[in-house]
Amino acid sequence: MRKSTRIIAAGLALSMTVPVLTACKKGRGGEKIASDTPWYNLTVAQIDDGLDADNVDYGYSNFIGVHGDNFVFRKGGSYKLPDGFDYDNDDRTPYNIDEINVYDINGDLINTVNLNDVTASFTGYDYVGISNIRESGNTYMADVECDVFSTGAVDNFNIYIDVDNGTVSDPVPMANDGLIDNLVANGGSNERTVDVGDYKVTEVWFSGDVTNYVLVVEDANGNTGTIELRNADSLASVYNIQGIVDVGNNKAVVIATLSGGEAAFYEINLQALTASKINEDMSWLASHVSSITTVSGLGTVVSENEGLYTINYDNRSIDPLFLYEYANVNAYEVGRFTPIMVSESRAIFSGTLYNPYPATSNTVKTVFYIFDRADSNPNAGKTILDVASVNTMSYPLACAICSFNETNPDYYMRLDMSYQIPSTVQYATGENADQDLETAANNLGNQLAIDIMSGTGPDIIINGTQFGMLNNDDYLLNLSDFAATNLGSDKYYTNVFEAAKINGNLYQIPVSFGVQGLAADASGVNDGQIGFTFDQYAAFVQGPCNGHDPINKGRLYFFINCLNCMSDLMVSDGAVNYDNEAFRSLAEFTASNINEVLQSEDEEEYYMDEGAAYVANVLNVGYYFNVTSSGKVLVGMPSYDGRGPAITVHDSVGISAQTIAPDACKEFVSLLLGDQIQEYYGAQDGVCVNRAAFATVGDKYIGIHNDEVDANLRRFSEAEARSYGMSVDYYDESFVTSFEQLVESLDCMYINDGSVNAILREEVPAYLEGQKTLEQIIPVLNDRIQTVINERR
Amino acid sequence: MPSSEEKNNDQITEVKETRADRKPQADPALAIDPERLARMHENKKRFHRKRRIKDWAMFTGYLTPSLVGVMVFFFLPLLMILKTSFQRSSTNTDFVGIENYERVLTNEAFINSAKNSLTFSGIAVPLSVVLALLLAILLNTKLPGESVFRSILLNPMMVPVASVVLIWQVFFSYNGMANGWGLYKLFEDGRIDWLKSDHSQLVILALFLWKNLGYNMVLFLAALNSIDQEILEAATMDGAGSITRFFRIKMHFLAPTLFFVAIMSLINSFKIFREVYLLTGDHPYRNLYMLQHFMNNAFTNLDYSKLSAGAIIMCVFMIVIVGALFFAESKFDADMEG
Amino acid sequence: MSSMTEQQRRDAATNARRKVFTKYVHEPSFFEKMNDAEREAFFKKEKTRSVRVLRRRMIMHRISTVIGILIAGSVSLLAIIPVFFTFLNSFMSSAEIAHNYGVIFQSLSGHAENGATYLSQSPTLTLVPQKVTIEQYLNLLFMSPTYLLKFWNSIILVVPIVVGQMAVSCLAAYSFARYRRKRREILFFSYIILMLMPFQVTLVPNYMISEQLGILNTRWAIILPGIFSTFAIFLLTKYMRQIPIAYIEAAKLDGATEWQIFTKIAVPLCKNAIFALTILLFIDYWNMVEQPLVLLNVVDKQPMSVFLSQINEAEIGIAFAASALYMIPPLLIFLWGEEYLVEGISRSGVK
Repeated sequence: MRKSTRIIAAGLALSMTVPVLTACKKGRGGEKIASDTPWYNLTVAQIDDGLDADNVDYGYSNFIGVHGDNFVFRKGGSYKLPDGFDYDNDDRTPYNIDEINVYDINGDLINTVNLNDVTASFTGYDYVGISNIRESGNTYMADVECDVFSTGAVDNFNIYIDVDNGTVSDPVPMANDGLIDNLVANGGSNERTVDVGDYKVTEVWFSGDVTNYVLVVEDANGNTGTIELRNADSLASVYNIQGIVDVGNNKAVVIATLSGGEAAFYEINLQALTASKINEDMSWLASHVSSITTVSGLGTVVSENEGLYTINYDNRSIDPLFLYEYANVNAYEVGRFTPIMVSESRAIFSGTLYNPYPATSNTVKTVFYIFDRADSNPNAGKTILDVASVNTMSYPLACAICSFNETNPDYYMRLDMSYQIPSTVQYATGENADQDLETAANNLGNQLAIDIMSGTGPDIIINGTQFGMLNNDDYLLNLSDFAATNLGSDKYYTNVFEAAKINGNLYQIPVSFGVQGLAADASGVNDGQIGFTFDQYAAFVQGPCNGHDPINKGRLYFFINCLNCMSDLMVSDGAVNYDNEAFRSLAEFTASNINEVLQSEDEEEYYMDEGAAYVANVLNVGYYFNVTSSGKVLVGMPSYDGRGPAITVHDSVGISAQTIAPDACKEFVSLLLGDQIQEYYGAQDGVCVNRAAFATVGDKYIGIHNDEVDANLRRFSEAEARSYGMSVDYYDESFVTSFEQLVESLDCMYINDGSVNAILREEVPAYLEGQKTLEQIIPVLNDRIQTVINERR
Repeated sequence: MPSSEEKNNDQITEVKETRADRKPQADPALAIDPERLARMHENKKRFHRKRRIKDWAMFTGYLTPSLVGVMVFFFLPLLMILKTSFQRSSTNTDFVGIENYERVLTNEAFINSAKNSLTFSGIAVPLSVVLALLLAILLNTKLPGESVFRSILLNPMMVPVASVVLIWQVFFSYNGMANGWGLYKLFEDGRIDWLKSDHSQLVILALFLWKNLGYNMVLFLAALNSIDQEILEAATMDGAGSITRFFRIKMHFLAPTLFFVAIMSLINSFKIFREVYLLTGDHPYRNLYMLQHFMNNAFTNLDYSKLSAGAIIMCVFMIVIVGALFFAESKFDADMEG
Repeated sequence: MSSMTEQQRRDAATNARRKVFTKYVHEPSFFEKMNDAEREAFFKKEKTRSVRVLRRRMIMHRISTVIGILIAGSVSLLAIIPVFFTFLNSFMSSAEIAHNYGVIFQSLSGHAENGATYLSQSPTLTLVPQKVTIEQYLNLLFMSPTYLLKFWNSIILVVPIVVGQMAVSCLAAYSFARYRRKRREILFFSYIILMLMPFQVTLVPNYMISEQLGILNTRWAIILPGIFSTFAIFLLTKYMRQIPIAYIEAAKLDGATEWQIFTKIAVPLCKNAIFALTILLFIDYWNMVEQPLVLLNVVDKQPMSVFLSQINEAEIGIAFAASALYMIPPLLIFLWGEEYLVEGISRSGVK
């Protein structure tokens, strides 16, 4: 019995009880947006910080705090260095940017304080650094650290910045904060100070075998005391404190993560200065632990993909504070912003706009997103459709959702990120981490399947290709016809759609994909050769690779990987036959030519740079450029017929069979495959299936690259730059065209079937170790895998 | 002194008179009116009916705890499965008739699993019954240390599955001890990977026999012991040889036990799934792929309609087989009584 | 004026009933015709002949006994080797176990998520450990409380089931035995069918019902279906139907209520069957694996049987000791109730 049994049965139980008892019709109720759902109108104000690519080499503005109706930022960066600047000898300080700027809600500059002047006023030191600028009463306080390198002396001061007047006080030697300084002197590191109710709590972290936190508590009268978290649980190695939540009665809950990745909760008494471990079931909070942040002015906030939530400890629940769907704003973009202020009627975020392409300039535009509560919700009455994105959300997806919601009069798409592997499992490093991850992924798939079946699931599923069990009519709509009529080969790479079909049915349309193969030296590959047959591969390894096999991860890995690319030769039309030349030649080749030596990560990196070939999964035009520009060609993995590279699906979209609005969903799919959104997909990871977008992205990348070459050549001569390994060659259209040709030639999908692989792993090592012959294992393989296929019919 | 005959006559007359008395119309002196008589009849009937109802109520009362529990935990699930086996999926309540059954009955995996289960049970059950009977007869011949043997042979029932599986793996894997001792020479030239060959059912059969022989044998032993010695002796005196003695008499007495043992073996032959699963995993080789494997995998693949249809088919099989056994047993019983 | 006496007539009638035919015509037998000398010679010959016959018969008997013991002995040996094996190996040190059997523990298919790995070397089946240590037992009993906890879990699951099932089944069997109507027989028949169902058939509905009743993932999810299982009813009914009706009639005449008949007559008479059933049920439920895995998926509450079937490399050190410990309660119960077991099962099978 598997661990997944329980979840399956649970879901089936749930899904069966409702119909059995109430004889429901299939499909969801079609929830509509209530008229009292909050709605916010968005105003964008760009900060007038004067940073632009013409006068600045790089620059940024960081939010510090709120002051009255205005907002305090610290601007940093460097003005453009003049041509001919000597990087080794000339002084950069005149070109440094370091200012405190105060802006109003419209982004206009109210006041500015040049910190460079302040720094300059400290004479006699080699290094002066201003940091930790924070609110203190009505002014802002900063720490100044002054070092003398020769003597090693360090002096610390505090300065007070009056942002109303734009003046800075004289430096005051830093108050000896007694407790905190002692702790820091003993090896602790002062992380931050947060307000918890009437108290100020400073978190000091100690490293060691068992890492520990000491909390310095200062009450309203200025009395200080310490709480050692180790007292609550001496065995736990507390790695990070996510947040401290005030729960009243001088008590607070500390939300922490341990070094293994798990979450831990402690209750501290700020008056009695004690700490104890919380043993009750905290799963309602544990799944959000990694999204907990502390925002000045707001306190402890859970920042999830859908919006901001507060922790309601009394109810043991997470309550929405501000959801991005209330404003139909790009959740991915705003999720990166810093919340500044949230109230009933207004919410203000600040951050930098998102650029899907790799940064071309080193300046970023900082904006305010000001959300003002509207009187009525313009979307009231629209039916809600859920878009579930498994595990991750992407910018293009959020864009598509916004775009759809703006134009469609009847339906409103809502982002549903509940299908995620908990972060504690994802980042765990313990003994069973891999297995737990696999189990969690399995459970996720089952949960999704069950929800769809029971009609409570999402209408659209993004990135669900890893869940093979969804690919049938019970769960997803068959989109072959839709693809045939709407997705013609003039606009799309239909070979990718064809490859994604299962038994002629298309359930999940690839939205972006990758190309998996070997990046091999062009010298080792003949013209027009798209892949390696086994003989060619053997020759290649002996020749250009000097005997070192680029796919060096062990025989079984090699075997299964190559077999996955050839799966259409073994299983066709429901009949399994491994008794063919392809399998035999692969087996024989693996047994005789591949060595069992596995390489380390460092070695892997070395061979990637220096070796004649490496395994590549090209997800991006830019990556492809890298491959080709280094003199390599992307060819297929070794196979029986020397076939070309295989397609791996990166993003995909599927429509639930139980949806109440199939047409609206299909419209959404068209949107995802439309030019604009596809361009965003292509700009990041994943090759576009849309031809026009493909061309656009290609051109843009060429532009980016050529700009970089310009910048490099401005600083160095060509020879110098080349010696540093920097790019100095210009790209042109031909790169994009060759990639396009490659994409058009792809026809096989990389299929990774868990059950089949399990059987292969059991049977094949016997042959590879020479204990059985092929004649012995092939009938067994045929039989067992045929059973697997038969069961699925 | 009246003669006996006279007395007899008197008695007869008396009887006659009493009977005559019973007739309401005969003697007006008794003055039983029809109403009262009808009421008497009513009461009698009611009394009998009440008695019948009382009986029924009381006996059903004894049955109630069991009935309630069985209803909730066994019948109800079966009904639910029956219902879903006629639906398209667990939530889609469209009635699709026997479509699911068709899908299952034509599914090759299912056919294979049914064939395997039936073959295995078909061989294992008779074999274990016959062997156990022979062993019992052997032990019954006043063998010294009979009770010791009895106890030892019952041991396999108690060994945990994991240990058994471990030992069987040590023996029958490709590099295991069976190949090491050359057992494969009985079948083929080279080493055999037992669990993945055509002889795989033999290995499992050995496992089954090892586990269940003791139990069956004890049953037979006890039955043999309880045969009336007198009849045996009488038959010996009659000149019956030991073979005739065995077949005619012992078999008759053993018949009910035979059926009981057959049913128990049938149950146990299905339980062997657990060992097979631990030895070979989800998708074993052709010969070991049993009905429960099919259902287990349908469960993991969330193919609930297949699961229910398969379960109902399995149910029907059981009913047929057990019904046949019971029918045969009842016929034998009738024979016995006569 | 009959040729036979009263006695002879009665004898004849008895014999007729016994279907044995005896002749009462007195004829001088073979012996009576001889004279004394002939008789003596005859007897002497007979004696030698019979002695020879007897001796031959005795030798034959001895030989057949020896053969019988050999057969029975070898079968018994086969039966008991695994038990010995487990007990003896439980005195091995964990290093030795890993050396000998490590390879298998990596590859038990039942729970390996990636499929079993191939046994590339032959594991050696050693009966007697090289170095006898009680390391395993120490680890098991003292190092960590989890194993003993699982042992306790097993007991806390099995005992209520056995006790409960006996109680419910006695009542139900009594009802089936005493009240025989056509409809009841059909119900009884269906009870038997239910007994035969493998677990997979009713897996999901059982899960659903448990969830409805709110007992899922508690011990009751396993105990309740176990209490109402129909195996015991089958056996007990057969047994109870054998109780002569005369006893019951007599009791009724004495004015006993049904309940008194049940408690004072039926149950005591079935004592053997009840003991036998207790043992059988105990062993059966002691070994259950699938139900806890699905219905009680809380690791802390898993019984020992599940734990043993999922032993992986990490627990090699206590594998055998755990198995040995696991076998002890059934062994004890079995030894205690052996007599009852044999007698109890026997009566139920025979009419």
